Amino acid sequence: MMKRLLFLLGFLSLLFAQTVPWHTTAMLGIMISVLVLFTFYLLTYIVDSREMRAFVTDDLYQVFFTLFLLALFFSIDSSLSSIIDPIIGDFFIISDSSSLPQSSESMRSVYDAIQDPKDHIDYAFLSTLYLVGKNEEVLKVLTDISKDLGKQASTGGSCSFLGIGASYAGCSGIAVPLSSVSASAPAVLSGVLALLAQTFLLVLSKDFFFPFLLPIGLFLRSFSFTRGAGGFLIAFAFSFYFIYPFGILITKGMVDTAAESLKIDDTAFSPEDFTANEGSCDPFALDVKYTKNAVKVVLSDDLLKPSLYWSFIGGTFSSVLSLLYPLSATAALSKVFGAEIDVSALARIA
Amino acid sequence: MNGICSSFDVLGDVYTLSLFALVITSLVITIVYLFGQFLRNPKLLAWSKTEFFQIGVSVVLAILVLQLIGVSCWLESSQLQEVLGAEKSSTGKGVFEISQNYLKDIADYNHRTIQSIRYYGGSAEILSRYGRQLCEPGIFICVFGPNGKNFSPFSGLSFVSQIMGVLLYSTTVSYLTVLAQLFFITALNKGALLQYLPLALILRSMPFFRKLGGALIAIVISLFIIFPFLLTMESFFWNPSTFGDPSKSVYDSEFDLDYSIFQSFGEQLGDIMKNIKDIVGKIFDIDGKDLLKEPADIFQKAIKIDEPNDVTDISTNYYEVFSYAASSFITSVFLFSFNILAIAASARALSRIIGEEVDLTRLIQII
Repeated sequence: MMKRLLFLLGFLSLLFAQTVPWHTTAMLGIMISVLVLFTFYLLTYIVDSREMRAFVTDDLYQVFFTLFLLALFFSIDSSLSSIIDPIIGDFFIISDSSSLPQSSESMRSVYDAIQDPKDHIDYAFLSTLYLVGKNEEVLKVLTDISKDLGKQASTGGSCSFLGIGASYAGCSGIAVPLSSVSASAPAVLSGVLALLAQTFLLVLSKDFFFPFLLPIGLFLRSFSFTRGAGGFLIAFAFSFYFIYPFGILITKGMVDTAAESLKIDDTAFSPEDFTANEGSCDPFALDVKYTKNAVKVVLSDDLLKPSLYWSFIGGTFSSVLSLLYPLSATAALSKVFGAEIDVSALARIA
Repeated sequence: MNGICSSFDVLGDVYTLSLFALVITSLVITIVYLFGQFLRNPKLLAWSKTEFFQIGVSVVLAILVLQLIGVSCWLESSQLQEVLGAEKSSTGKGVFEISQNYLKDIADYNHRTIQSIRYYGGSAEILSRYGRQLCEPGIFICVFGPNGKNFSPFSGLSFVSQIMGVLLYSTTVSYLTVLAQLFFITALNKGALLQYLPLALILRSMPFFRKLGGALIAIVISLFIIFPFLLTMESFFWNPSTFGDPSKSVYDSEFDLDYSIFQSFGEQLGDIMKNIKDIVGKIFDIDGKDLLKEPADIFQKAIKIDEPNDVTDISTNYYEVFSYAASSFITSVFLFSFNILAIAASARALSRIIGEEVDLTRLIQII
């Protein structure tokens, strides 16, 4: 009996290791399930059914395992806060919050992490915003190029007298590289949107999945016929709260390392250089050099390399890869958390 | 809001229909029992005895479901908010009203995002179509026809309108998804599909139809209890409006489609037009100022658009819309998919439990 008490006390010390916003609702979930099972347990004495009592006792053992899971989550969260988060903080450098992307402007006043990152979710949030910023830079460069090219492509000349005359569309060839730039817009945008959706998923995992789905999962796990669903919800909340942010941080690290080794320099291209060599297109000259120059700019390494890298690798690919971590973890962990625990083995531990 | 929570009409009808269904089922089983007695067939007798017990189970299930729906109508958002310690919530009494208000808030958010996107897309589209005739070597050369270079200074902003087109598509899908949910929950609130319950009570006691009957009861539980409950809980933990007001970017934008952005241009032409106005006024003895005000202003503003940098550039403002579009998508499409998955999973699990034959011997032992 004393051993069992000590075992429970060990859990209790972990429970109060750190005050986190989700622990109240999680404990509430467990307490409700204990209350329900306890009521059933009392009922078994009223109706004098040993079979039903054995059934309820079995579920009560499962609640103990669920309590163990809860304690495990608390201890993981505490360890993260006290040991791992400060280490991430040391490695994580965002020099200035003003360097964050413009699309996050609306979140700046709402989400505290932008001002003062505290935990792994905050760091993952800022990492994502950093990549959004890179993609926005690409979009900005492409917009500027598009504006320059558009202006030149639309330039024409006319000479007329009383309705009789001629017009020159000597720069319309530039419309060809312009259409290539325009066609890139949806591709770059999809990267930005995927990354921004990632930030909202992080907020959801902190504000909704963990404080709400975890207690529901813990509650459902306590009963034999809803154990599978409970296990799935626990795995889902766990994966998105713990694994997803780390997946994002790891992916961001990989993207940065690859950018360094591939020598991706996003500042090499300046849209101002665009007209420096050949000047603005003269429609009366009917010269193809302006079109050639525009094609050269659009296909230049200085523009293509950073644009492709940040939009495809830093945007679309990294967000998909980051999402694969929690999804595959959910599939694997739901079997673990939703599994029927061998009661006899648990009793031996106790 | 007129619905299953506001009056007893809908639930009362379902109670009556369920009672009617139970009477009919009992009658059928009684007839089968009498036939069993008449034919001295033990199989028929055993079946009818089992089904009498199953009717009892169905009665308990029906009362439980209808009572749960009734109880969920009494939940108040402020009470739930206090219990859960949540900061955000949509107001209302009963899970249906809270859910409807939550979906209305989300639909409004999506609509404002669409407005914002449309604003930037429209601005880019209008600007990209502006043209300028340079009238070289002097302005009066154009009196005889257009002469010199002409160009559209903002033609390249078609890039921005293309981006806005993509955003508009995804946000419209999000908006329609929310509206579909709103119509669905409104239909449920009016009692649609609740008539499955009496039908399920009959089917549950018919040979070969127990699983279908169980599935129908499970669908009713999932749609009338779990779906609004999930939406209500979402409203306590998630509200995209806290990330900013999408229409704010439109109203606060420095880019303005009235012609004030061109006010610094064409001052010389303005002077010329002013002189013309005065002359016209003197000749015809009328107030030329009013007569020629509009054409003079338009001419003044249209003629002197120069470099793109001269205009407050929309490309520095439109990025903010991205986060609103992403937030709309996550709220409307991702969470909706999650809700549908949860409803489907719970319906499947419940139908497995309810559709199974309840172990009679075990229950009798308990009783």
